[in-house]
Amino acid sequence: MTDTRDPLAITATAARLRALHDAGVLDEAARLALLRRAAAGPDAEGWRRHLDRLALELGAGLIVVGVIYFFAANWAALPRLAKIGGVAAMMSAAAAWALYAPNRLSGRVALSAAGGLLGALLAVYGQVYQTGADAWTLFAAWAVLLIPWVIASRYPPLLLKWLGIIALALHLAVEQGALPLLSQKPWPWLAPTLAPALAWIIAEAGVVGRGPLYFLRVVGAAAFAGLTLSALILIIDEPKTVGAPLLTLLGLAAAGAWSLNLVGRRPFDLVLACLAWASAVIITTTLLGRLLFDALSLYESGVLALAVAIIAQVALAAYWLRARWRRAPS
Amino acid sequence: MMRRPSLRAIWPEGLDEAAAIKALEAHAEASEASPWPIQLLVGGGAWLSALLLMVFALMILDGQEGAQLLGALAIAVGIGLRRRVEARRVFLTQLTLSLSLAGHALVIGPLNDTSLIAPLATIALGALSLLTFPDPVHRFLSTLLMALGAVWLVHDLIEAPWALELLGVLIAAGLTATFEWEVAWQRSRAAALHLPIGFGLAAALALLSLPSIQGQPGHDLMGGTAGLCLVLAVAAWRAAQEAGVTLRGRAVVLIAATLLPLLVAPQAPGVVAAALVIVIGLRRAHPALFYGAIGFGLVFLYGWYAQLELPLMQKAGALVGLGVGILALRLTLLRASEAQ
Repeated sequence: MTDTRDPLAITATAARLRALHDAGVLDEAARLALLRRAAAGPDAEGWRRHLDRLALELGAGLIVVGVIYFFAANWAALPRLAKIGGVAAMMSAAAAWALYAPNRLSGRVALSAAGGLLGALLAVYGQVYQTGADAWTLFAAWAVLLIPWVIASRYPPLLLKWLGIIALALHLAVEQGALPLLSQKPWPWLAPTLAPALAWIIAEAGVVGRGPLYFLRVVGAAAFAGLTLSALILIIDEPKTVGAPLLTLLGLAAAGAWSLNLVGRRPFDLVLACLAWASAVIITTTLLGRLLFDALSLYESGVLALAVAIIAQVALAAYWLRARWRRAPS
Repeated sequence: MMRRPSLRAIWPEGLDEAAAIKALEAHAEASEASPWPIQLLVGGGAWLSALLLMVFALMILDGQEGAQLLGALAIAVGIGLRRRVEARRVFLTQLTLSLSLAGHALVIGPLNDTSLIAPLATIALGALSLLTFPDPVHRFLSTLLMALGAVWLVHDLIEAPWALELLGVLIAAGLTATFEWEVAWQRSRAAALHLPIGFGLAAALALLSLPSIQGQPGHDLMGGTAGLCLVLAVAAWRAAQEAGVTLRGRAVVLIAATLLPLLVAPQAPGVVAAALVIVIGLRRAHPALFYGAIGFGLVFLYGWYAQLELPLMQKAGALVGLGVGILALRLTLLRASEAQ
């Protein structure tokens, strides 16, 4: 655990070592010795840990994909029982391993693989018995059945996979007309954003802990992507109702406030803050582009103005981010 | 967690901590360096604004000579201005970056003749801006530009696929050497070039490997894959040596890194290139290299699968077999480390 109150608990970069040398704190020999230690790779245990994780995730992933391809390749030739039984058996085997080793990485990866195979099982069932259901119901059922596994595993990658399935279910539900009230643009993109946005809200509220930083970054990036895309669609295709614009605006405001640490007590994260600024730059530039090209019919000078506007916005963003980053504890 | 040690973790006893803290605070105030998320944002903005500046120049100019002249002027102004302004004046630095990138596009864009002048000019322009434009984002792009110029040159000079494969191996060797001799770089006056060149070479290697995803009918890619395997073996050997692995263990690592990829994916140099960047990213604790290589590696792995000239059922078997093989390798590694 890094002690953020310790001024020396910051990464030993070459630039910092040079600064210490230039200030007379380190002589040249000490600087080079520390530089060598800072640049040294992991020890044997470190390599074992990295390779262990990499091999486990890659190996398990390849097996799951290979099994899915196997069924796809032999679909017509397989009897019904083999189709359903085969996937079910593999899912059960993976789940059994997860039950046997619940606290080991292999157990968690096995549970993720079983979660993937659960979706394959639902798809196989739907095809064998021709249930005639829309694709979104498959993903919705998959998401519902996965809930106890997600809770039991407390494994952030499985939680992210689950959020992805919910987002896909929502996107397909809107696209396939299951939610007639949300048929207009940008709902096919705004509705799926609800999944990462809600996860983000729960994480920020700290109700069940915030989870690892990468989890916040992934849900933050997904929420910003959906909200920014919705905003661009609204700017280009002028909205006919107020629901989507209001929700997009509120979502962007909340995401921006959290990312820039204007609210909340989470430590400052530069990646989330950069995402907020990138979203702001993209939306402002699109708005300005519409104004210059469509409303004012300025073409050559409009292109030049847009280029200068981007430079100014990014400069402002970089200025703010650097100042905030310097103030943040390492 | 992949990260470099903190100063606290490597701080020798007896050195003046109070003076160090004071110096670090002064350094943080004056530092011109930005962390990678800000550099990414700045780079993206610079690309977009450079594109718009280029469009603007093409809209108001007639003829390619005029565009090239304006481009050269933009580069000169960009370099001249950037060398005079401090990095903390972000609007000006962003403006110079965009100006220079737009200038590069205006100068290189019209160079489409078949003589060797065009690729040579591209390499020269890249080298010039690498050495004279003091900005890490620009230096990364300059390295990439030089590598692309080299691809162009080799393609025009030697119209044979093996030449490009050889170039890929040379870029991989350059990338490995760049990170291998990190301390020597940092000791030299070219310390600021180290990371931009390293990351630029990694990006160039990934881009150069992209065509292999589609395969090249009638051309065997095994030579290029073998060359990359050798570079990977050297990188793996050095990592094992640094980690204190015994000579016998290192020999196993060397043989495995050379032969396994060659046996499993002889027509997929991209997979080996991604494995090399993963090793370097882990060894030097650069998450951007590591995760970037994982992403590219998955794309190349898909390319490997798509190119397998087997019936679908056997292809699925190959995927499962590879997965089982990797898990078996993991088990062997676990047992070996437990035995030690």
